[in-house]
Amino acid sequence: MQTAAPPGGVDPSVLHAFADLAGVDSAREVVDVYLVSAAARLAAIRAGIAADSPVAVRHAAHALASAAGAVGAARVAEIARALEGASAGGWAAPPHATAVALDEAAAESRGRLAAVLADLATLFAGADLGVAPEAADDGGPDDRDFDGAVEGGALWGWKL
Amino acid sequence: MILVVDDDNVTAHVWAYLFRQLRRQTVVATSGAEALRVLDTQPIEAIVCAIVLPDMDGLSFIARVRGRRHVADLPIVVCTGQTDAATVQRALTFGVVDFLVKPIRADHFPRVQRVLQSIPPRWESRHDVVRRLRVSTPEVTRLVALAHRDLAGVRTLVSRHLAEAERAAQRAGNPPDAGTASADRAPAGEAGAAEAGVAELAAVVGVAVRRVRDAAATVGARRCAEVLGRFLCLPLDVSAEGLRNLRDALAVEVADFEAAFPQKSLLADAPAADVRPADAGAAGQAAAAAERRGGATRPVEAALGA
Repeated sequence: MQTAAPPGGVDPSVLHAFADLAGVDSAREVVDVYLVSAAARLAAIRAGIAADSPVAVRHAAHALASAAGAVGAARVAEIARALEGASAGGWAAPPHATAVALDEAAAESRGRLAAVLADLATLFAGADLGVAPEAADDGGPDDRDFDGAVEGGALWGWKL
Repeated sequence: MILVVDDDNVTAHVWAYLFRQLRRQTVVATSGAEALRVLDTQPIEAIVCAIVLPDMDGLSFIARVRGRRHVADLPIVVCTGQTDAATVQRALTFGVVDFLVKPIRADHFPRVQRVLQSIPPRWESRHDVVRRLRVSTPEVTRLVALAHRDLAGVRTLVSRHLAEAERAAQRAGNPPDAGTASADRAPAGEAGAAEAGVAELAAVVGVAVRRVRDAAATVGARRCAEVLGRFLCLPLDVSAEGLRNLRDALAVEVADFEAAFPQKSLLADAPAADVRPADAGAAGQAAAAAERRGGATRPVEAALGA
């Protein structure tokens, strides 16, 4: 039996399940991180194609597939995986069409993810099961850390 | 403290938020090299790692973890999109405790939670230590401070010998890993002296490590005592590589003491002992005194006597 593609290429159950565990605010922050990360990966893919570098494209596509899957952006993850596979052994010609399809899927997923977050906010309004307020502002992760700006390794964490 | 090794920051964030629900601190490394540095400085309890990393294969990273004595036993969970049979087989060969297929999903969480629940606590509870030693809580804190100072002192001792070994290797034109255990490289007439030097160094470092291991056991630092015990089970390796491994283990345990007792000013005030061959720190001196009195070196006596 074939499963229908989720609207906007986003499976809302992924973020719903995460919000159940970690709270709506955490889900929102993860989506924010994803949007920043996806933009960087898409740019890296475009640059890799322009430079005719399958290795660069493969690496960026792999990371994008992983990130998209983590927030339920199923269509983006699917195309990114296809692009990763197409780049694995080099290519006869740069996969321009796949990259364009990936850009379109990513653009579509942005709106859909915002809608899923809005649904979650409504569902959880007044009953947020997530992070306690006192633990929320405690030096949590940000993209600066992931870029390796912190001396001694790109590290971050929480002291609880 | 959980180490997440993944260059996908979205997945790393998801792990961190989930671990926060378990009140576990998360440290993220975005490459294998960073992760190895973390393991040599932070008291890590478990590792969640991806297979595709920017600088090395995740399985190579795991192999290197398994080769480091102070972290070789850490539970490792693989979380990856690489699900080919060869990858899974190799991961299992390295003793990973679970293999999760990306993308990360909510149903992965209880599996990781089970792994975390199986990790023995690094420290005996303060209550149990107080009951076991039959001393007051402030006294236990003082003993912890002394054990910490001795631990830092032994780390200094090992670091000094490691630096000497590396300098000697450079002078001799040998790679540092040839280290002090280079009797086989020395000219024939000097081989005996070199062997004697290695044996003496192993004895000196071994005594210091044994005493600080006992002090750690006394104050309830279970993981520290267990890790240092691993170095004592076998003839102490005083090659540069062996000393480096021991220094890293000591550094991690010093960090663990400081993480476990950050609020205790004793730890900050107690200067690190400059351990010399005849001076293995306060707890070590107490242990030596106990030995001179004819009794076996007992951890409690070593620490309390200090």
